[in-house]
Amino acid sequence: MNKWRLSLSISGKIVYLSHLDLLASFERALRRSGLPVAYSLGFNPHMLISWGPAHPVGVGGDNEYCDLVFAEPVDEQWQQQLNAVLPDGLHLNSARPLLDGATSLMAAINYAQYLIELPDNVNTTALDVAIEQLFKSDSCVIERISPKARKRLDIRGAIDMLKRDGKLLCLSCRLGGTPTPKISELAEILGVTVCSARRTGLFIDGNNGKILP
Amino acid sequence: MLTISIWPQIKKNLPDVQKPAQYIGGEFNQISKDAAKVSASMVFCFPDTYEIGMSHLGLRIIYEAINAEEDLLCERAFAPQADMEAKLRQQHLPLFSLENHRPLKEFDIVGFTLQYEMSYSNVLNMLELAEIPLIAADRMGWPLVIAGGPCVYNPEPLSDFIDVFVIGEGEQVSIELMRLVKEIKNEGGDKQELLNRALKIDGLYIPCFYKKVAAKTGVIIREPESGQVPAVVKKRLCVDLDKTVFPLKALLPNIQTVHDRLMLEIMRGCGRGCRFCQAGIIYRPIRERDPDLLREQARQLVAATGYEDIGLLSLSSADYSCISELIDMLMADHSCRNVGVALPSLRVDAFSVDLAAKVQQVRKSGLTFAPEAGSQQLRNIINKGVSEENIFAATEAAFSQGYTAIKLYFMIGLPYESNEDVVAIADLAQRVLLAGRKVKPAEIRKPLKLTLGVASFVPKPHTPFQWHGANNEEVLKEKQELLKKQLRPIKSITLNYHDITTSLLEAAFARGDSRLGKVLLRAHDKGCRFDGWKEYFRADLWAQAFVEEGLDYRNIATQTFACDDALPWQHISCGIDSDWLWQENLKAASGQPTVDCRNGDCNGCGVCANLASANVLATRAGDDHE
Ligand code: SF4
Repeated sequence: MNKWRLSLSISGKIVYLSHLDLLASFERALRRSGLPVAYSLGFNPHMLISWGPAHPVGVGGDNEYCDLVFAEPVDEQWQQQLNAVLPDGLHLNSARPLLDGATSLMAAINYAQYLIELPDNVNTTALDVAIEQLFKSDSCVIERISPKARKRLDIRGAIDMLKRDGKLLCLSCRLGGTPTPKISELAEILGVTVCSARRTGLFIDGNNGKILP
Repeated sequence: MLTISIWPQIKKNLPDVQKPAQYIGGEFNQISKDAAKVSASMVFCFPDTYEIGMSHLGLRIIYEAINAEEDLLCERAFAPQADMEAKLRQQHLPLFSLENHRPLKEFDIVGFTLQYEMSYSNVLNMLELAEIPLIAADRMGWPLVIAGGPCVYNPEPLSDFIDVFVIGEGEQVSIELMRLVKEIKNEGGDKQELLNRALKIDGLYIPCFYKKVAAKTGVIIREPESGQVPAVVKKRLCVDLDKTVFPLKALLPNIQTVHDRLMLEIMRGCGRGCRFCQAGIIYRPIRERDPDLLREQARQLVAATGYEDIGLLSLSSADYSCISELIDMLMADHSCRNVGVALPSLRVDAFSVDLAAKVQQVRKSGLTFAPEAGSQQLRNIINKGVSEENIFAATEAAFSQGYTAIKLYFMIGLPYESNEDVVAIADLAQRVLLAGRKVKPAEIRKPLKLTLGVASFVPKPHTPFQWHGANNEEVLKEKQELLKKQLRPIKSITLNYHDITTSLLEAAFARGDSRLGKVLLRAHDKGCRFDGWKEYFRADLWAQAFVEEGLDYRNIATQTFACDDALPWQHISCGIDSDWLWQENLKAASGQPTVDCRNGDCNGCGVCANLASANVLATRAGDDHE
């Protein structure tokens, strides 16, 4: 097995791609690179890549993860080779070889940090009050409407930390357990508009604290 | 000009719209030029969504051809979806190009491609969103609004709105027109001056130089205002495809498109001469690309894009002279990298199924065949050179190879069609299914499924059936009901058919004259757009628009012309002799066949002589000709 864990950053216009379109774009880059990516067997062979939590549309990411299997050993140059053909806005930060039997990203990652940029004219006093209120209450129910259903979700449990620093909001969320709010939903709760948002980190939060995947 | 970018304003709206990636541009392999360094600019507008437009090869070719010229620039624009349109209108933002988010009105030329009559309301809507006056006569300065694509073979319904129609293949003539724009701008000339001098470029129809005249049947035809104006505008044609530009660094769409694969154009034109088919006539003669060149192009395209499928594009790919060899070469080059080959257009015969089997070595998908008519008699009438044996050979081969779902395309409402011919569709489908069950491999458990796509025939200009009217609403309804009744008891056959009003409107706009411009304007004012989309189509608004103009789309759609009647599109020529079309129409009545001219049996359609061209067939080095 020749398995690697990749850390990628997503920025610029490409953040508006849906997660699936971003994956397609990454796979095409891999094909352009000529690297010997391994494929599944069967009628519809697909590249052996598994991703961590999907990147939300419109939100950039400093450290997004995927695991990738090569069919043959690759030389040291492979990371540069891949970076040379990645589309604008997608960048391979680093990669490390993975041992057999490593826990999958989806199963392991359970914590995310975001940095949210607010407009210059944001009402900071009102915002601080809203944040305080959010933390005082032990539930915060939002309504999520999709073409198929209308759901009421309590997102309070997922929010671990929310801090304002000037025009920046730092948000830390637990993933995978209780429902996580979208950035736009959080903005609505707090009564602010958002200029841009980035997921700065994804972590495995366990007994030994937060570690990188 | 071309200095403004409204990206910051567009960006603000992206969190609130569906599929925001369709508005961002910046795709891999996008060509983005410095506007200050070019002398003429065009924005190529596709009057439908990004997902549909980005699958269109014509856009890719023109984009490449223009941008390959150092002094010229081409960007792209698509119809925004309803949510984005609402934002643009609320915030008074103009429609923009994707490369640099420049307002369309800042370009020298705004060019539309007309692929489908039901996209005409989108053309008007895009102009309005671009803050460009809709009526050509109201537009004093730039931009010049042009249109090309298959629908311009009857340009009249849009002739009030478009300054210049490009007839035929656009890669060369667009550049000639843009160079003229450059010249005129350098001289400080205006748009009228441009139009005057554009008369010298072949293949351009410029409606302002033609008067509207009522023919004795009441239809409006066009006649030149003066002797300097060509009475008939003949299409442009690339005689040698191997010498034309082809995009080798293909743009990678930001969102999944309807045909998301590499587009390798293997030939243009078709010699079969199906009498209902406009594409089979207007793209003549046959021009095949050299297989070795195609192999090289495919290599470069795969390397430049990383696409997982190579689509071999043409009207009928199995007809391409070296198709087996080409597929073998492509598979040899690419299958080790899990890159597959796709044949979007299959013929109805066993050979095609063998080809399909060959390409399935990498990936498996469904198969589609188009017998078009259910009875042999009607297939003879339409000159669809497909026999019942062909149909069974094809479908049995497919089922025996393990395919479990097949789609069959048919038409109803063809000239000379009787109810027996309609019942024959249902009958044929059932027999195909029964025969399929007999040959189905024992190890395959899944029951066989047939899907029938049954379209209502729309008579198109420049075909042997151009004189025939469409069937009226009642007759089409009756034929659909008849089919439904026949097929209702059979659960393994799914029947899909087209909305009758949409088909009749399509027919009206395909065959109508310049009076339809006013109807279109009214429909647009009432809010019609995306008429090809079921969820947006508003039959009621269209009906009102026609009533208000005192016209009836049903009459236009179903009107029959006599041999010597003037036709609204008679000033446009695709190079085919109109006498030949009439002869074909007569042969149809008696079900006489016309053979494919690709094997050397010229049947005298006239295009080769009229356009100084010939069928070009591909050969491979080492081919020995008996
Ligand atoms: S002129 Fe003859 S050979 Fe040429 S396209 Fe017509 S029928 Fe075919």
